[in-house]
Amino acid sequence: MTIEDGYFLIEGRLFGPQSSAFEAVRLVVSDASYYVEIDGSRNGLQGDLRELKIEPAVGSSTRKIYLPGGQLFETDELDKVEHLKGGGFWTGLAKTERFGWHLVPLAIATPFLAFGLYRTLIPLFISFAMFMTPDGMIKTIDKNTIKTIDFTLTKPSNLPRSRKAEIQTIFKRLAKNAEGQSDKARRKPEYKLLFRSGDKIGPNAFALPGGTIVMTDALVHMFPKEDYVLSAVLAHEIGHVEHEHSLRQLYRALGMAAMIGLIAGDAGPMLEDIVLEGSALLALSFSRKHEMQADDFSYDILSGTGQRADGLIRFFEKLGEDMPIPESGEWMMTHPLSQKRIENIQAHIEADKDADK
Amino acid sequence: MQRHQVEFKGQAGEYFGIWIVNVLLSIVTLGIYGAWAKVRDKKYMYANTFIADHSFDYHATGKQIFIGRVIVASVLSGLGVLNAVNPLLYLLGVLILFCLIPVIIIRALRFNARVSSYRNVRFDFVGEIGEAFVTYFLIPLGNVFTLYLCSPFVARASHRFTTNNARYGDRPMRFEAEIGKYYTPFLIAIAITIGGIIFLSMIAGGTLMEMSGALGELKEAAESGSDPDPAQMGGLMGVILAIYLGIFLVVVPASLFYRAWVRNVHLNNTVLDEQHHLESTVHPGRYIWIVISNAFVSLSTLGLMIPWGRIRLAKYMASVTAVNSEGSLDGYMSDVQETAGVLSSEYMDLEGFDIDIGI
Repeated sequence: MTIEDGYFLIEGRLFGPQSSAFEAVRLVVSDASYYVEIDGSRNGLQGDLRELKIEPAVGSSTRKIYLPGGQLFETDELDKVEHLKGGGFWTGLAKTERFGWHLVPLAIATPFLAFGLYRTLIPLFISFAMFMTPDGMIKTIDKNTIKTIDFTLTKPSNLPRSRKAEIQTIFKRLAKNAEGQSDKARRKPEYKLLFRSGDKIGPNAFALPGGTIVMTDALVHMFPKEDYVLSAVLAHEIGHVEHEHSLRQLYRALGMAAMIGLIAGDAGPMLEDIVLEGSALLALSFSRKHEMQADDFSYDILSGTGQRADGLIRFFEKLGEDMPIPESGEWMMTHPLSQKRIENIQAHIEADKDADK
Repeated sequence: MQRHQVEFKGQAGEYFGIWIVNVLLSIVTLGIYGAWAKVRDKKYMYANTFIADHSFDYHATGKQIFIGRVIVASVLSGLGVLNAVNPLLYLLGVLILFCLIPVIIIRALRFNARVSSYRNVRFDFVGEIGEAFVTYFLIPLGNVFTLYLCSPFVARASHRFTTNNARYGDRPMRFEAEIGKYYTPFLIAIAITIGGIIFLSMIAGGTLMEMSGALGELKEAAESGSDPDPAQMGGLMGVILAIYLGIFLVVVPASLFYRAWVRNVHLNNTVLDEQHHLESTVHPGRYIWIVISNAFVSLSTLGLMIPWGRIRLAKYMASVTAVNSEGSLDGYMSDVQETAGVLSSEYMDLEGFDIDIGI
């Protein structure tokens, strides 16, 4: 009788249930049933093949089969176990995993698939999450962030009331101009300008997703007679809000963390750190792209409504006078190099001049 | 006394196949297969680790790991959203999670022990929450006030907790070592770090001067109340990068040295059931060389050599590990019951801190 007839013997060892003691045995398979033999005589264990729990193959390691009574049968006769139970997902998988030339296309496809997934899934996830975000949540983000920075970073503004009112007027006009400018925004932001002071944040302005924009006293003091600069900065911040940049960055960070955790998580300790650092650098490039987008927005909205639109150039130049500006190393910054941003605005101005001709 | 050498019989080629299929299927299934991939990976490693002609086995199922991952991912992303919506509530959430650390550690250790077996007998872990609290909260508190000079006490406490509460079937493990054995490698590692920094600053003196110059400028700028915004960050980033590089060149080898030596101390003072003495003879220099060259080779081959590196390290670690038995290895009965705690194990997995017990 042969394997083809459905009768064969598998040499192995049998452990009692949850015991490390074992005996050398033979698993005798005949058609759809099995029995166990010790020294040529049956030991009483027998039954239907379907009652055996055959562990999937992993490489060329010992195969394990659990009997219904909890006994473990171990064997190194791997081929014969395949005859016991061919086919199925795990058998196919084990065959695919075998070392050979067929792995080459898999190895080549892997980085492309990973990159494709990153390029399609992350934007998809961001769009979906943006769509699902309730308006109430965005308002809460604004409210609580202001509460938190007031608690930790900033102090009330010391600007004279009249100066504040002047800037508020500029801001209200810009917010009105911004309406309907961006095709991307799904919701209507509630624009609000707040003034704060604080040594820790210096001359600065930033936007929150719901339309709250904070400007520091130090920034206002920097341009006492140049309102067109302040209005360019405000328009830049409104650009962040219209393009919903901060929410996008938040969801991008969440999506990347999930993707790295699920796919690259088993890359090993040192390499996982490197992957995480790489993703941080990617996030920075994303942030720089957003800064440029907001610069473009600032220019477009100001020139589109007949206002002076080169305020950002003055802003960066003034910033450069007060402190040294790095000329390289952009890849590790949240903002693009000032020089690049000045050139970007200048390119816009040139383009408009050409269009006028 | 009978000596049983630990052997690792895995092969890089064979493991490569398993690994690349794991990565590919994880990508194609958007990470879902990752849970099953982890099980296959562990099963391969366990099944190829032999003592006295018997191998280990890993019994967790992909489904268990998957459920754990889903829960952990929901909690963490929930916290992430909370951070944006309400930072104060988020801090509360983090605080609660922090207080749960001893519970999470115990459940992770228990889960990992119970899904591991050798010769058909499972491991178990019986540590209690009070002891976990002392081990992971009270003793590390000593480090806060002593510039990490208490680290050897923290390491020993962790080894005591994880080993003395580990069971192989119904048999206890025992570990005890004088603190001096931990301070020896700790002080050598500190000496390596200090010596390395002095050496580096001698060969890179100019760079260091530039660095301190940049720092000085930053400080001046901060004092004069001007802006730490984009422009200035460039200089700061350069300094941070240089420090990163220094850490890599000095601190990584020093900490690998400490880890290798401490593993020897841990295992050489561990006994199973008062008759099986573990033995570990890791050579720190060789260990450092293997880990660092593995990382270098893996990176320069875009990750394709990760499996080779892992097999190489596993082979080395097995070759320096043995069990010296007074009696026979036969006849242990397992008293392990249901497995539980997959949730906490996955929390550790996602968070990247990993606790290894015993062999």
